[in-house]
Amino acid sequence: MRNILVVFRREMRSYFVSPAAYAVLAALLALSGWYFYELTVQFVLFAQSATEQAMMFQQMPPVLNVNLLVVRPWFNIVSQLLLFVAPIITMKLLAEERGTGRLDVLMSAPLTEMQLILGKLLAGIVLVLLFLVPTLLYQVALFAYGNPELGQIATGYLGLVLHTAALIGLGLAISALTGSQVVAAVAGFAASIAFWVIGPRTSADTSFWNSILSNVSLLRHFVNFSSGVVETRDLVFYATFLIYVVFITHRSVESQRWRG
Amino acid sequence: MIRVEHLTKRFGPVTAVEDITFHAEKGEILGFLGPNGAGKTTTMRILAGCLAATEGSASIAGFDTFESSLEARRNLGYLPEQIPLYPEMTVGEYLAFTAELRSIRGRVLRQRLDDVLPRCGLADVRHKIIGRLSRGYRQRVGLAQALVHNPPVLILDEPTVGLDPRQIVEVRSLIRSLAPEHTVLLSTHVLPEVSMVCSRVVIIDRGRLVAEDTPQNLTSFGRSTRFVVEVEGPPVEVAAVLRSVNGVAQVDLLEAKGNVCRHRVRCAAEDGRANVEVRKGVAEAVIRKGFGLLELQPERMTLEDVFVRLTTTEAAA
Repeated sequence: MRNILVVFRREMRSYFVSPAAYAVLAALLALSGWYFYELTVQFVLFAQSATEQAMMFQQMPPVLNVNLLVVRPWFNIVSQLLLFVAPIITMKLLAEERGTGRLDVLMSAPLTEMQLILGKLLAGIVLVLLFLVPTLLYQVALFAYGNPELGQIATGYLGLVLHTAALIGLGLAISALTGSQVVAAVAGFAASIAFWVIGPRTSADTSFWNSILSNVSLLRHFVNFSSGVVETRDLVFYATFLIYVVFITHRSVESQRWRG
Repeated sequence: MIRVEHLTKRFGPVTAVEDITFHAEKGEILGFLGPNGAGKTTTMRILAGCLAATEGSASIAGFDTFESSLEARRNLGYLPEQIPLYPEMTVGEYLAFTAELRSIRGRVLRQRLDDVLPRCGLADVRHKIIGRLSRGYRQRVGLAQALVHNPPVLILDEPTVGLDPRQIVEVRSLIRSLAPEHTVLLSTHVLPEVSMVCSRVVIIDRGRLVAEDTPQNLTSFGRSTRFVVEVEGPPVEVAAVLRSVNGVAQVDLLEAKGNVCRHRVRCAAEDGRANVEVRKGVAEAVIRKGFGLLELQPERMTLEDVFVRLTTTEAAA
């Protein structure tokens, strides 16, 4: 446990002195902020025109749902942005260690592969989550001017935590497979996006392969959280996904000893 | 402290190291020599726990590097061939990180840093970022990283590469100063370094052990294949007589003053014992011809000679 924290602290420090992480996370915040602005403005304009129409026909103005029209789509968009952010955060984690030969020095210390991997995984997850903290301000704005539901926002953030963990784990596994950061980033994008688009073309298609594919799609599981639903199978999915990618990472780092 | 037993490592069809056995006891500085690609780095990486052996075993301070890997690594400081540093960290931060991985914290950590930084000549760059340091300094940071937890066993893969002459002298005396408490395995290409620093030498070539001895024994007279002979007589005739002796491969005139000449004789056989026979034959032939035998002195071999001979005969075989 001590060693995990030592690795974690070193990675965090290294993130905070590297411009790349700041640039990516600034982009994440800028885009998520812009989407939030767009969604809110559209919602307000829509509400305004609906109210005007209702008044024209001398009816009660409709009650529009901010949870459905702002909160849910915003969480979905952020989860998609993370598909692009995570591989850039993870690309250096193991690929750089291997490429520079630093893995040798780490492995000559009394540190197990699992401690190394968990320290790095934790650093990547915590970094992304730290940069999601400012987005809580958006929710404060919603509460100040509207009447959103706290529960749905909470499950949305729970979903983002799990989603981030899964994507960082996936990126880490890919970073362990190569000695090149560029390869790690590109393959990481490909894998993240594959887990996004893998879902079925239509939900009406209930054939065997389609149900398999829709069950391994990351975003299919995420949309439940953004709609305010916490289902056991989604929790189980994210947990097994994370365990599986950590297992692959461990195997890959361990195999270095045999392959050299 | 360091034991390597019948160690073999294959990378697919390529055999990098084949059946190597050597030991190093406490306080010993063992030089590890061999041409490029001989398997030095592979052997060292197996000892450092970065690589698993195909056959045989290696142990550090009594712990097998594979079976009880963590205990072995707790007793080990390792400087790899490539200097593996984090360019964005300061020297102090980096050394603290590597020490913390060995459970050194707080007051002990500060003591260790205060000890190792001046020893490696890093006191004045403690707060500098590693990425800004010159190669010589980085090399020393790598060395400090191997020393910071004061391990009983040190494995240093070419520690003096990239240093300037003054730094080389400093690092050598640093390594020598480690000897009483530490066991050091040191690979290098600089042969005089071995005679200066090491108490014993292991030479490997193409993955096989070809010699293991003290530098003094390796370079001793018995192994020499050349000697110098000073004879009173006409140089050309003396040379002809020398060439006629059985087992002589080459005769070179070194100097001739009046009627006294010095020749260097090289034996055909690459063996110290044959050399003795040749010397006896030369003495006999010179005297039988009526020349005056003034001096007959075997040449001491340099470590370079030994190295080249051991590694090239192996190649020819």
